[in-house]
Amino acid sequence: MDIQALLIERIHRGDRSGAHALLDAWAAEYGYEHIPAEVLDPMLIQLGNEWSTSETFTLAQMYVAAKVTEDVLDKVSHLFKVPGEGKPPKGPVVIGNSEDDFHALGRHLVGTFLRAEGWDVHDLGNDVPAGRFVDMAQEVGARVIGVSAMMLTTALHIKKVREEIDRRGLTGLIQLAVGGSVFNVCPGLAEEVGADGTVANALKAAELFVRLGEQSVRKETGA
Amino acid sequence: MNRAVLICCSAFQGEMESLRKNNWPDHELKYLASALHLHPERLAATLQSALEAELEQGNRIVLIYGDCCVRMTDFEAMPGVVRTRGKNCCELLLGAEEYRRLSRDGAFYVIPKWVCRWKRFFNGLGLNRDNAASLMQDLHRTLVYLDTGLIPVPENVLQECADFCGLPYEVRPVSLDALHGAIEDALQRSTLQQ
Repeated sequence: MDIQALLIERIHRGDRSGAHALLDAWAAEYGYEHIPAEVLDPMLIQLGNEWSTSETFTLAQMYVAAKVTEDVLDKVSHLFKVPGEGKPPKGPVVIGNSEDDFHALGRHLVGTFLRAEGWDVHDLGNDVPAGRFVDMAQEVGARVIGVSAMMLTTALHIKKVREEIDRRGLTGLIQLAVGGSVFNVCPGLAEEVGADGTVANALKAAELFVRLGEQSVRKETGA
Repeated sequence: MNRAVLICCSAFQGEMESLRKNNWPDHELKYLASALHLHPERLAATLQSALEAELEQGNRIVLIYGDCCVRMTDFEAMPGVVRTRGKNCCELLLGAEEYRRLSRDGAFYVIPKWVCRWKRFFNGLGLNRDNAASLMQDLHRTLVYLDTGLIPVPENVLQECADFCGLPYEVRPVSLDALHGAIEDALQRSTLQQ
């Protein structure tokens, strides 16, 4: 069995320490610097695809995948003094939970997976007012704001972020990504709150942010 | 539509029985199992049936629920139905301001009805002790037990749960004033709708 398959098997079991033991053994032979590209990225792609089409994964599995990723990033960063995985920086993004929303797990996972892909993540935490998202995006030059919400009532607060982006004349220049379980069970909700895009799980967030970042560049350059 | 039926999550059963004696002795109170929250689609279907049955009888309805499933706004839009204002049972017990303050401080809420089920809850999420502790410490700072004073505080169970989560716990006495106020507000809106 290859390393990705073994690692995924441990993540399926929620076995974080087993996953680390496996990575350490692999690194002893091939070098830790190769783990991100040769082990972690393929694993995350495979899990993202698997979890997009299945509802059988558990919160524990998603969490362990994020923690393994986070631990690898920390270790690579510490060993080789490079941020993220040493990938080319993709730029700043802003994430947070919508106003009145305190369900931090999804946001936490998204932040981890975005960092793994080289994004400079500015995480504003829970219960973030609409204006603060846009203030921060303007301050750091983010092209994408990601807002997480767990419940319908808090998801509807995201409309205020849309309004704030538009009010400041930043439509298209700052793209609005949304996520959270409520968007998976309410078709059309992402459009209703004015989002530019959404994805079904945290592992797919990096793809979405790349796409939205490109849309922002096209808007800016008129291409 | 004159008669109001209160449809309530059984998470509040003890608190509701305590409030009803002095406040709404004439209103009928019906409970739906709190365990339905584990299956939101089943909760929605059960609520739908319960609402239709009461509306057919010509009753007006107060739903004593938070934003517990995505169809809650559809239910509230039904003529004759109003819902208490609050995102979840903890906010109904604490009031919006206190709920927000404690949440910002990293509270993970534990209510009397839930506390004995904590092992099942974490098992259901697939979290063993290590992962549960890591996750809870990533997301929260304290377990906050909302003590409504109706049952003795289960200190041993709380300690066990806190140890499992790797967090301290605190017991916060909570009066039933906020819940009472939320229901009174909903009853008034229900009356005005008539």
